[in-house]
Amino acid sequence: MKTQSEEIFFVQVKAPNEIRRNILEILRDIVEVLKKFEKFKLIKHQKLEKITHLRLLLKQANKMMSDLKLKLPQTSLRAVVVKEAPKLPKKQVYNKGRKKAEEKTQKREPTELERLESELNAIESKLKGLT
Amino acid sequence: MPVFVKVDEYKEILDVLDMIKGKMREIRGTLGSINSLRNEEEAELAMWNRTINEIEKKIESIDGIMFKPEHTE
Repeated sequence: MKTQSEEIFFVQVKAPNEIRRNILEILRDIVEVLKKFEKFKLIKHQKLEKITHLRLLLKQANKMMSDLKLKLPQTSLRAVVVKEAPKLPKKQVYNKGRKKAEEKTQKREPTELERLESELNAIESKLKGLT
Repeated sequence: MPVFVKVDEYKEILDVLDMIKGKMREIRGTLGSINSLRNEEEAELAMWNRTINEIEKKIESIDGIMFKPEHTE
C-alpha cells in the first residue's frame, strides 16, 4: 500500500515557458475585457439616460406644438395640393418589383431609436410647413 | 381667402415657434449623442470579439502543447 502511493508519475510538458506566457497573456486579456465591460456598462447607462431625456424633449415639443395649434386661427382652409404628373407604364412595371423589395425591407420592426428619429422628422416637417 | 391674426397673438405664435425651434435643436443634439454612444457601444463589442478570438487561439495553443507530451510523439 505504501509503495503504491510513492509511485508518482510525471508527464513532461514540451514548452513550459510558452504555456506560462500564454496563460499570462490570457489573464491580461481577460482583465482587459473586464475593464472594457465596465466601460460598456457606463456607455449603455449614458445612452439610456439620453434616450429618457430625448423622450422628455419630444413630449415637451409635442406640447408646444399643441399650444401653437391652439394659438393659430381656427379655419377650414386647406393648402393647395399639387398633383404629380402620371408616370409612364414601363416605369411603373419596373417600380413594382422595386416596391416589393422595399416593402420586404420595411417589414422588420423599427428600433426605438428609429421610431424616435421618424417622430422627430415628422415634427420637423410639420414645423417647416408652418414657417 | 386671407386670414388675419391679432398682432399680440401673432407675436405669441412667433415666440412659441421660436421655442419649438430651440427644442428641436436640443432634440437633434441629444439624438446625435445617442448615435455616437451607439457607435461607441458597437466599437466596444467589436473589440471584445477580437480579444475573445485571441484568447481562444491561445487556449488552443496551450491545449495542443499539453495534449502532446514529449514522449508520446
